[in-house]
Amino acid sequence: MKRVAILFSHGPWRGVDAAAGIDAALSLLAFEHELQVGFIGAGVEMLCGSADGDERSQRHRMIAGLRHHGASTMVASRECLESRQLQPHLDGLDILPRARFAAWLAGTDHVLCF
Amino acid sequence: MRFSLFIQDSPDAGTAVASALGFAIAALAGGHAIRQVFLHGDGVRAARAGADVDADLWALLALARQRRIPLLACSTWLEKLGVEPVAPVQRGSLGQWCDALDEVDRVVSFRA
Repeated sequence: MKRVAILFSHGPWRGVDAAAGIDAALSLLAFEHELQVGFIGAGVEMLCGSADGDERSQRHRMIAGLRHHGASTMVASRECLESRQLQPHLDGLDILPRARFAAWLAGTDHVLCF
Repeated sequence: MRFSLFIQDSPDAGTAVASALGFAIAALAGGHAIRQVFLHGDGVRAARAGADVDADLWALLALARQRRIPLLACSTWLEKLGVEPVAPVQRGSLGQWCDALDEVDRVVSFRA
């Protein structure tokens, strides 16, 4: 079993990336790897839902579901949230400053960025 | 070290394939091993390589053949994007990629 980080760095509007990242995350859980999920850059926009029921809100629901499916850790970059003035809506999310975010990444076996 | 390469963007969209090729050549020359090349998301568009493919993709396919590196394309994304894979690319699954994680030291992902 490997500790694998899925890193979302694009916003929910680039649909292929978000969908591909969620696919990979669910597969890692199914094959009993330890899944950790991070949000950086425009990826932090995936942490904020939308009331419109559009693609963005669907992505947000799927991201929130990863925790319930077994993701051990979910972290977001404090600087990236602050620069976009976003308040994330996600249970169990750790908001880390840059140095701790880097330390978190360094502690994983593999990192995949979507 | 043993590597798995994960290609996420099509050859038309940027430098993902060229970067993967460059990395693979350097890694093999340095005595490292490439356990698998996996095409995912838009990256599966590289699987329909015909005679008109760009030079980098052609070289990557040739390298995979020559060094017997499994070159897998995610079957879900092949269907989603309507791509029919051409040898040496084979249909694969994220399950095969997940299995390979235990056998490699690093996954290196490439995107535009």
